[in-house]
Amino acid sequence: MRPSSLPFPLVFAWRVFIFFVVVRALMGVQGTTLFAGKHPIINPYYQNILINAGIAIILAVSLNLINGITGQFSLGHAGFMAVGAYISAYFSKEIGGVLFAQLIALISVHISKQLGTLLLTFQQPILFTIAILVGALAAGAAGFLVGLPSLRLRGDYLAIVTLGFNQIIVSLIRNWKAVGEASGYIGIPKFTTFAWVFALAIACIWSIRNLASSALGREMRAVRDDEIAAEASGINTTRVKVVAFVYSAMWAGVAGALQAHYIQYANPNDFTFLRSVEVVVSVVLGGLGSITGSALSAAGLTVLQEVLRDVPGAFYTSVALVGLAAYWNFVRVKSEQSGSKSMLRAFVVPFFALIAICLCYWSPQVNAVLERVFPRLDLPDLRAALESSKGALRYVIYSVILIVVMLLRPQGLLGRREWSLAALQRGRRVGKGVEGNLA
Amino acid sequence: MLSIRNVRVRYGPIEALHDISLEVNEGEVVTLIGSNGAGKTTTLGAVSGLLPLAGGQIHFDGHDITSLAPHKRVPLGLIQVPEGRRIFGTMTVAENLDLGAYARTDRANLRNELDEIYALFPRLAERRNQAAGTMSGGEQQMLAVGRALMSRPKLLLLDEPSLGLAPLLVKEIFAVVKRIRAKGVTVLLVEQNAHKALEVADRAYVLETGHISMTGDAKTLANDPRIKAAYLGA
Amino acid sequence: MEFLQQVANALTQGAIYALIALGYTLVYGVLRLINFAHGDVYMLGAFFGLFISRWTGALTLSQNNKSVPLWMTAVVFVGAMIGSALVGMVIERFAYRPLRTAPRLTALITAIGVSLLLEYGGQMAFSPDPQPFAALIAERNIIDTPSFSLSLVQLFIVGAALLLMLSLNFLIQKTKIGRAMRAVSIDRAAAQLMGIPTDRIIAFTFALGSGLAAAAGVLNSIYQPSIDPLMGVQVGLRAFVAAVLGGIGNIYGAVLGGLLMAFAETATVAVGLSRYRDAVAFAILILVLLVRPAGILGRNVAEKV
Repeated sequence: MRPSSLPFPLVFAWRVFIFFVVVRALMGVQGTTLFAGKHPIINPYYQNILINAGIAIILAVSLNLINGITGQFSLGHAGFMAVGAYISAYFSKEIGGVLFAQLIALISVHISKQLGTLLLTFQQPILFTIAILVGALAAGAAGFLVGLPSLRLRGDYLAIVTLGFNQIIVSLIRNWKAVGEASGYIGIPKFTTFAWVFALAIACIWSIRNLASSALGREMRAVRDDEIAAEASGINTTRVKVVAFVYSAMWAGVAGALQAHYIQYANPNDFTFLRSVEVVVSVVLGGLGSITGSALSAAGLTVLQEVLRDVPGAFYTSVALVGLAAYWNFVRVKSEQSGSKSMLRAFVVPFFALIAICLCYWSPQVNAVLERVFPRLDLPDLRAALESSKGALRYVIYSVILIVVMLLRPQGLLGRREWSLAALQRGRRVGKGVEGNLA
Repeated sequence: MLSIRNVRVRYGPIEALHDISLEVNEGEVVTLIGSNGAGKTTTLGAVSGLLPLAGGQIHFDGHDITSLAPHKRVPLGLIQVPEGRRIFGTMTVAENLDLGAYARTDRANLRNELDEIYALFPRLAERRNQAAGTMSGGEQQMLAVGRALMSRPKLLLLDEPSLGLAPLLVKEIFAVVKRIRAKGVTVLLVEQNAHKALEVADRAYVLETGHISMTGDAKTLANDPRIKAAYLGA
Repeated sequence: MEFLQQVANALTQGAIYALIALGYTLVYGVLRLINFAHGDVYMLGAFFGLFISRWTGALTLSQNNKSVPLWMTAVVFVGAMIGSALVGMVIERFAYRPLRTAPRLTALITAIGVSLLLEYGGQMAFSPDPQPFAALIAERNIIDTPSFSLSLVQLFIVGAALLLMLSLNFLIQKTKIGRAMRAVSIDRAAAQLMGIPTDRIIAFTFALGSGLAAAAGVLNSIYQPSIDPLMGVQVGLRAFVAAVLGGIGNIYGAVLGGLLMAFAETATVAVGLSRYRDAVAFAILILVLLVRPAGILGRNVAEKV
């Protein structure tokens, strides 16, 4: 496919825009009640999960573009999300309505009254579209600013710098009076519906997938595999890296806009390094370089969040995690040495981990026994702690996922493989990645 | 003293050494020659333990050292002077030499050793408190050898000592090898400079892309027409 | 003078940052790894200190406004340092050592994982709410004038930090194991060829760095007696910037960086921009990495093609 004279991302951004304007228009025609948040088929609780999953997918897939495909490690994705969220929200709340009203008035007077009325019925989608675009562009600009220093840094230092930019963005928001500073921005109109998230998630996956299999995508992967060799082969590594950052940041901005217009609230504390790490966990778990992997694990982790809401759920999740780790460890040990003794050793750590988890789950009983022996030691009641600090538990699980994946299966669930629809329809998994080699 | 049998070494999927076998007897100077990329440094890496074996065995002085960690081979008397010197640049000459004796338990005799080394390499004595990284290539090579001698090696593995040195210094280095041998240290010398290596050695092995293609007495090999054509520029 | 007061405060804070920065720099020196979890080892040091205070009874003494005997304070310090040293060694052994040959980013991600685990595991184990620390040093002022006051605590912190730093310097420059540490940080393979047991030296380095962080944790908790499981996040990042600023891998650089960061922070607050403290720290980091990545005292390491 011959690239046009326009920069690649712009071409795709344009196509995405057309795509979902068409989709949205179709939805509008079919009847707003069907998709305006009152879906008769999917019940609201599940809709909530699906929306969150969709937003997570957009974040993970876009981060994969930087981390997995271009090989630059970015720890500041939440910063771009924040920019998208706040700028789009500001537009919707303060500017959008007024501008639109003026525009309608102008059109009604100078062009045609019917056109004016028609546009008025589509006010929400049009406003939202523009808000998202504005947010995405602002996020893209932020991505450009972050991408610039990335040109000279590598590996760990690049990661820390992106973390720094995330922090700086949050700091700036915390001191911006117009959006509520540290107490947050409230009253954002609720534009997001399942349809929007669905459409945009599909658009994101489709677009980044196309990008990855294009010539530019090949250049990105060349930069990932060996930057110096890529530069020596005539690839403009500067341009490639900056494009990756900007395009990825734009999608993060879209995700931020979607979230802000869903929960109708934005708070700087929701976009710190911790949020960035959540996205990193998705990407790492799914497999750096696998778009399918990122999407699947983002969705999976969103569901996991729900499961972790109660203690038994946490217990089962932990046990499942230990089981998975044990399996991966076993596979890894089996591939290195033979001998049943070392294969048994693979289960030692998971076994103790299991004991530790059971100790936590039955902590009150255990403490009662221990306290008789060591009276002055104030032992923490781990089960109660579990029940009162579910927010912390989530991050403990994420951290364990990170450690287990990095130690036992660094390529994540899918490595660099992708699952294509065509192959699934044929009833088997395609093992070939975008490069055409296995795993 | 050193016995390498059927050793294989892999770098990922590529096998760099296929089924190498060689012997070094006590008191000998054995040289391993071959062109760039033949696997000479890999062989020494396998002997010193820096590279894991994909097959085969290594025996040294009666011990089976096949899976012994590199730092544990040093107290047995197996010392390597790595390719490119790799001295500790920000430390002084004296500190480098002191580190050479890290594994020694008889710290009392160190003074003697130090004096011997300074006698062998007078230029090091002059610069004993100078940062090692500021010295010339030749001096650094002396330091690398001196550092290795500090641990009273039984077998010294020398990896391309003449690399990057001016011809005058190359002569000096090989004179040092002769003096080391005179002290009773066994030497396994890996060299690209086949001419000088065959001059100083008793026996030689020729390594070609991962296997031993020839072996024999050094003088005989030096006069062999094939060797002359390939390595001696005849 | 107001200025002198700021200087005194900055010196105290700088001493604490320096101790933590030393840990970052030591580990980076031997492993070329940014130990993300280091700030959390600092936090663990504070918590170990708290538990030991409870156990020895120092906490109850301080709660009743009685002075804490010196031997108890010493036990708290030593205990916290040993505890953190052990934690550091465990982390190295199980999270970092298996990844010695893996790409650096794998180790970085693992480090982030360990950091999160300590922080939120800590929240689950110790409760996320701040807890009061024991006043191990009497809250008295040595110099008490209207414009300038120097407290015993501040003096103690600077003194203890200085003692630790001098001991570390002696260890590294004059002892056999210190030389071994330096050798491992210059060229690990060559060090192995000297007979240096590199794995053990690396473990020792971790223990050393973690012990220093723990000392910093206890010192800081005497100064600002409210501890919580997330206290290592901001402080850890600032100490990391300090290490980079001074030149990561350089011991003197870590100390210099710590002092400079503290002064920068104090200046930021004094000018009224205290809400931008974190941003300033990162701005400094970004500037250093772009303008002079080796730091003030560091050497420029070119990338071998």
